[in-house]
Amino acid sequence: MVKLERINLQKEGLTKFFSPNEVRILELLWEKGDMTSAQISEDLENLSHAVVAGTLDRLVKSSFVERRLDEGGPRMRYIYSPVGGRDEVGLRISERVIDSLFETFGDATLSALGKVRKENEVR
Amino acid sequence: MNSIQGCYVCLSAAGILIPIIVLAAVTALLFVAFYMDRGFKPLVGAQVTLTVVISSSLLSMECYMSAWVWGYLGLVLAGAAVITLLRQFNASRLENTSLGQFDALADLEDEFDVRIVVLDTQRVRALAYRGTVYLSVGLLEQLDDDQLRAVVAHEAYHLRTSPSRPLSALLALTSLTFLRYNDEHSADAYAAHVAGVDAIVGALDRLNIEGREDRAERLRQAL
Repeated sequence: MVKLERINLQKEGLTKFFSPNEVRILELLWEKGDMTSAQISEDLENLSHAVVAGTLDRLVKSSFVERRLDEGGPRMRYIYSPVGGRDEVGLRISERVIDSLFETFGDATLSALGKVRKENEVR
Repeated sequence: MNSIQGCYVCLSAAGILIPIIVLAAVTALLFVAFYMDRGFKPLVGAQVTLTVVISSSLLSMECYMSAWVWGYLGLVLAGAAVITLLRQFNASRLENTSLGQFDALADLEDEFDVRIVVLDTQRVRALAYRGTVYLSVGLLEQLDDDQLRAVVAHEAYHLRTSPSRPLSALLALTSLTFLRYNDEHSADAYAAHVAGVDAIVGALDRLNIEGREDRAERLRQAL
């Protein structure tokens, strides 16, 4: 789950909700599907393997990314894949944020949602 | 002079025999436990420390020996209790991230007579704890066979030279036996002896271990 205290609305795009490194890995996985950590490190050249490893652990823990153990090769390794695409991540984060807003502001949140919806339909 | 005379008076007093016997018996028991646990070398270190502890208390006690004996015993028992609890806590934390044992590592388990448990993390982790070598998937992914063998040898060395029971762990702590026999450089030397210098240096390098240049340098000097 995205931690609400980490949300920063001043930032751009997905970095509102994730760290820049998490975004790079997520986008890579959305683009390419199943990958090993070695392949991810290779694609993200300026990130050290240690940083990639720590970021992957965090993404798995927050279940935006899942991994399975591949024992077929000479050595066991993880294969990573994203849990849902961009839309599904958007849905999860929106739900979490709206839940929290509703908890605090009640019906005002629903009115705001209705307003936002109307404005976007007009566009 | 006074303290030596005080000590003499103290030793010749009839009541003093009991605490001496208790202290001697407990010390002997600790030695036996420690010896059975970890062989001869750590025993020497522990013995030296205990001798210093006992003789310094004899010199400074001036008839307060019972208090010293009970104080020392209390320290040993309280320390052992704390170590036991800490170990329990650490072990349960490790078990929470464990994926269990794997057939692919059975040969290494047999060779070094250890249990190898795989940790569920992409981060590089290798540690030895209570008869078990813990290796992370992130570590396994990166090493070739020789390098992996070197890492297991390194951790197995830590297991063999670190006391597994709380009482002997405490004795080892108080006698600085950890520092003398169970440092990273000795473990590296053992790994180099078993799997070759290139394998252990290669593993340190591959895993980007902090201080790897210094450790590689010390290995090469030792050759």
